[in-house]
Amino acid sequence: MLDLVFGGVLCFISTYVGITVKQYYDKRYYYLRDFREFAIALEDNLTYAKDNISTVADKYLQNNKGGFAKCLEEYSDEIKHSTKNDETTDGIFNVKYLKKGERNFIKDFFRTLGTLDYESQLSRIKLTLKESEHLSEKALKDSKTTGVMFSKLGLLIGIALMIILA
Amino acid sequence: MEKPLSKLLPIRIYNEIAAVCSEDKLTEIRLRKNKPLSYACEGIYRTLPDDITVTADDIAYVLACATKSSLYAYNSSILQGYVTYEGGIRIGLSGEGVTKGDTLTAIKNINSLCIRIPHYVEIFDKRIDALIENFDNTLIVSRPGMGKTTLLRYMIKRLSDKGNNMLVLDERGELSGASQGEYSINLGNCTDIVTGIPKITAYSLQVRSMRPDVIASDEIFGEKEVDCIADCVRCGVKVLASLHTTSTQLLKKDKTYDRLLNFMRYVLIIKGIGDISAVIDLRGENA
Repeated sequence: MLDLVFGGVLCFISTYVGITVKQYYDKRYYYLRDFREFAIALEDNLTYAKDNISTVADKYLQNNKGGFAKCLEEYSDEIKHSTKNDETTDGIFNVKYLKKGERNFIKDFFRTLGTLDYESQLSRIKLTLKESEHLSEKALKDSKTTGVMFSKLGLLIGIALMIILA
Repeated sequence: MEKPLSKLLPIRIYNEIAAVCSEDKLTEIRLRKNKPLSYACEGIYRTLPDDITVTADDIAYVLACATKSSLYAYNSSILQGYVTYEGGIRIGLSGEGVTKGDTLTAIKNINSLCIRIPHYVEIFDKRIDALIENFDNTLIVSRPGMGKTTLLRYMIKRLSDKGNNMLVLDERGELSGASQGEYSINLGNCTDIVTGIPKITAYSLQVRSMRPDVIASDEIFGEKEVDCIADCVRCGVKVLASLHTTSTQLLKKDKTYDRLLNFMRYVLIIKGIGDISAVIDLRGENA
């Protein structure tokens, strides 16, 4: 009986680890997807209204939540309080569940955001959109393959451990 | 309430200036990359010691504050050489131009800033009182930085308080201290203010729609504006304006601006803030 309970606990832990790994991949995808959506909103706004970044961010935050939205809110607050600099920007976008290259890509974007003239800013956003499309597609693929694989593997190992111990 | 300059300037620079001149006396601050900081206190220019040098980061900080970290959103204003900030502070800037064909598309590597702080100053001068009583087309002239805008602001308020419908063409928001739709300087209850619209456009649009008694414009620039003023005078609208020059003699020799002397009744020549050296009645004698 004790073995069955112990097996059940191990099964739960193993499944939990699998789901956590899957969540890691999902979070990464959602973050990159939301970043891309913000960049699209920014490009739209730049083309027509030319609002400042805080205004664009506030509009975006009205309808969006999640990891990226939290970072964006912090970034927008830094601008509002005139405390934004490279250091604070790096700190805000130092997101653990992104790969180093993805983190640097986003940090770099936000470091230069608002420091360029109109034409340069627009072309920078267009380039970012291209790259972010590639990154979010890759993240979605990873989530669907590696993420799902880990969650299934976690469950299978858990069941296997339970059977062995039973 | 936090003073606009304390937010706009890097704390190091703000503290240095605050130690030598109070904000209500400060009229101008100049930041030039790798040069000592200079400022104008009550219109008198001074330079801080050499060890207080302006860095590229200082200039970037001021620009980031003034543009709310959105330089691109201020592109059209930057292309005209300035950005406005809270309280009517105008930041003139210079740097490296980027052109596409013959068109200026951007200014990059901005290395000099001229921060001008507006003040409303009461001017006690009987000649101005008399001029307000019997107002007619008036031109205020002086070289830059002598207080034309300050006098213009004072006269607008006085004329407005007398019940004249004033239309202020304040393209750069400097006269009214305009920022984000708020005016930090009271120009009177009968004053309508137009900001952000190029003056030439504003003349034709607003004269018809707002029916002003007096139209006020700071720093007349170019033949087109002189034409617009001629139109206003023809329509019966009085004009109160300022121009960069030092004397009526110079004005007479200028092919663009000499026509103004045909429309104007009074010319005020000023030599400092609130210091009027002459009030010339072009139809009579010195007032």
